[in-house]
Amino acid sequence: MKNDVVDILIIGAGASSAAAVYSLSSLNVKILCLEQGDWMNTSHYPSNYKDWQSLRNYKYNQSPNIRKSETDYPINEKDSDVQVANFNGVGGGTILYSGHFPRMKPSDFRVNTLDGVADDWPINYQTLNQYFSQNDINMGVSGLSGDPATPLHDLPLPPIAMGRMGEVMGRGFNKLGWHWWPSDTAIISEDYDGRRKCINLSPCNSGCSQGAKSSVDISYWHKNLRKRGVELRTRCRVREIIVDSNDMAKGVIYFDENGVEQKQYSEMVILACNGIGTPRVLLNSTSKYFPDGLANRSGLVGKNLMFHPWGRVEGTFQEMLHSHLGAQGSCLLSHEFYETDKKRDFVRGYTLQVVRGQPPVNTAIQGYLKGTIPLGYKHHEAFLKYYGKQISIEIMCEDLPEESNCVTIDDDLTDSHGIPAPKISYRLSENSKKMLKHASEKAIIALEESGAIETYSHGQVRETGWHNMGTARMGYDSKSSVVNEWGRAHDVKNLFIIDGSIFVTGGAVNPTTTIQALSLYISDQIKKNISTLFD
Amino acid sequence: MNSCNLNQDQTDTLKRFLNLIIPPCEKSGLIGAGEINLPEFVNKYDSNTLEIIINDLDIMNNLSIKKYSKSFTLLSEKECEHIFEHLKSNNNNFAKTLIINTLGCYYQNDSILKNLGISSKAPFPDGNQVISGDLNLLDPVRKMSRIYRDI
Repeated sequence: MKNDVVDILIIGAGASSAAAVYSLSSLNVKILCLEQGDWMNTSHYPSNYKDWQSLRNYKYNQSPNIRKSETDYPINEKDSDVQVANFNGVGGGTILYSGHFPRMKPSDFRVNTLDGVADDWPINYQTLNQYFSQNDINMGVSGLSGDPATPLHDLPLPPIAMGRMGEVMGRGFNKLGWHWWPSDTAIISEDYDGRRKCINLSPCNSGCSQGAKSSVDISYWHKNLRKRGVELRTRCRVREIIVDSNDMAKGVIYFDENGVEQKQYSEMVILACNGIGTPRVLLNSTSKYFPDGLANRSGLVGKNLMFHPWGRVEGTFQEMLHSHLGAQGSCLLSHEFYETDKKRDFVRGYTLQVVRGQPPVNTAIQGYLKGTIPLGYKHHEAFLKYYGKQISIEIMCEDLPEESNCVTIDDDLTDSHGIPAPKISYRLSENSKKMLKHASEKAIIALEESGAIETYSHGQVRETGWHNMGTARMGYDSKSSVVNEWGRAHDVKNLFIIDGSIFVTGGAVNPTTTIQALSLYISDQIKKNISTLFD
Repeated sequence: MNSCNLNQDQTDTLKRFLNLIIPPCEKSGLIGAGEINLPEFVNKYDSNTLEIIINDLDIMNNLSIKKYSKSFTLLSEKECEHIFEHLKSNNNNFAKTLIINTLGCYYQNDSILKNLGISSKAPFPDGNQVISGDLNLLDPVRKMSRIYRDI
C-alpha cells in the first residue's frame, strides 16, 4: 500500500540522502525517500543544445528565485549579503555543482581549541576518514595523492585535465613558493563504474550531459534503487513532520505529485534538505509539543547560518589559453592561506580556487558590466582581448557561526503548495571582510606572477550561496546544539539530520564530500546502535 | 530582423540602437547587432523583460523627437549617442536589459561565431580537447613539508 508505515523515511534526494540510503539499505528494511523535484534527464541539459549559454543563464540558473520551476520553493533573501543557490530534484545540489571536492582538514574540526573561536565539532577528521574514502569510491572522484596541505589519501581516478591555464598558474604559484595542487574533483577522468569519462563539455554547473560529473542521481541513486526495500517518490513535497506525545516523530504530511495531501508514517525520519530546507521543514513543523518548531527546544534551529563568503579576481593574459574549455569549476587550488596565521588581522583562512574562463556570452556580458568591453566601435577588438584568455581565482573564505545569521519562516511568501517559504537574514562579519580583502590581494599577486597583463577584482560576490551550513548544528549539549554527535535530534530520538545544517563550523572548502562522509558515518552509527537507537 | 511584438517605430529604433552598440566591422566581416533577431531571442529566453525593452525604445524615440524633432532612426550617430548618454546619466541601468540580451543573442549567432572562429555546435557529444597539463610542475610543492595542522 502506498502509505503503509515504513521503517525509515528520508526527506530529500540529494548528496547526503543518497549516501545514507546506500548505507542503510544493508539493513534490509523498508526505506522511503520523498523528493519534491523530478528525476533529471542528461539529454535535457543545456550542453546538448547550441543555445546552452542561454539555457544555463535562465532555465538552469542556480537561483531558485530566477529559475522559478514549480518544483522549487522561493526564498526571501532581501536581508542577506548572499543569494542562495540550490537545486531541487533527484541529485539535489549536485545537479548544478561543479564537483570541486576537497575535504575539510583536521583543524576544521577543532576551531575553538586551536584558534579560540566558535566551537569544536563533537567528531574529528579521523572519525570521518574512512567515510571520505568510501564516498570517493562510490561517487567516482579524480585527483592526485600526495598534497602536502591535506592528510594523505588515495583517489580512485587520476586528476582531470588542468589545461594550459593550469600550467600557467602552476608556474606562477611556484615562483611565489606558494602551495597549489590539482583539485580533488567529483568528475571521472577515466571510464568508471559503467560511466563514460569527462570530455570537457565545460558547463558542468548546468548539469553534465556526458554523465561524467558525479551527481548523486547517477553515482548513487541508480545503485540504491536496485536494493530491496528502497523506494523513491518524486514530486512529493513535505509540509511538516508530525510527532506524538512522547516526542517521537510519527511521520510526515506531504503533497504528492497531484498536489493531494498525504500522510506517511514511519518508525524513523531522516532530514536531508540542506542548510536552508532542513530548518524550513523543522520550523514549519509546529505542534503543542514543539510550539517553536520541531527539535527546537534549544532555540537554535535556523540559527548560525554559514555560507562561504566569496570573492573573485580575474586575470587576463596575452596569449590564447582556451581557458574557457574544461571542467568549469575544477582546475587547481591553493591552500597557502588556509590555516590561521596569528600575524594576520583575521582568524581562520581561505581557499584560492582557480577556475576556467567564461564562454563567449558571459565574456561579453561580464566585460560590459565591468567596463572592460565597451559598446561601439571598440567592442570587437575588446572582446577578442579577453575571450579564452581569462583565468579566475575564486576566493572561498571560512565563515564563522553567528546566531544573528539565520533562516526563519517568511510571514507572507509561500511555495506552490502554500507552504511557508524560508527567509534568510545574513550579514558578512568583520572577520570575513578582512579575510576577503587579504585574499583578493593575494589572488592578484598570484595572477600577476603567472603573467596576467590585467586583473580585475569583483570584491565580494553575492550570487554564491552554494554552501548552506550550520542551521541545526551538532554537539553534545542539548542546550547549545540541535543534534548529537551522530546526527540524532536531542529532542526527538527517532529524528536524524544528515545534511550540511549539522556542521558546527564550515571550513573553507566546498562541503559536499564532508556532508556525504558525515552521512555515511551517521548511517553507520544508526546501524551499530539499531537495538538501542531510541533509548 | 523579426519584429515580434514591436511596432514599426520600435523595430526601427531597435535596429538603429543595436548597430550603434555593436556596429558591423568591415575589416573582420562581422555583422552588426542590428542584423540579429533580438525580439525572438527575448521572447524565447527572457520574455518577462520584453515590456522593459519596448519601454526603453519608446523613451529613446520620444526623447529624440522632443530634442531633435525627428525619430531616433534619423539621428546622426553623435545625436544617438547623446540621447543614450543623457538617459543613462539619469538612470545608470537604462537599457541594461536590452544590452545584456543583445550580447546573449549576438554571441550565440552562427555567422558571428563562425567569423570569430568559435564553434557554434552544442558541446555534447563531441566535447573539447584540453591538455592534461604537466604534473612535474608540482615537484616544488611535493618537496614542501606538511602545511596543514595535524591534531
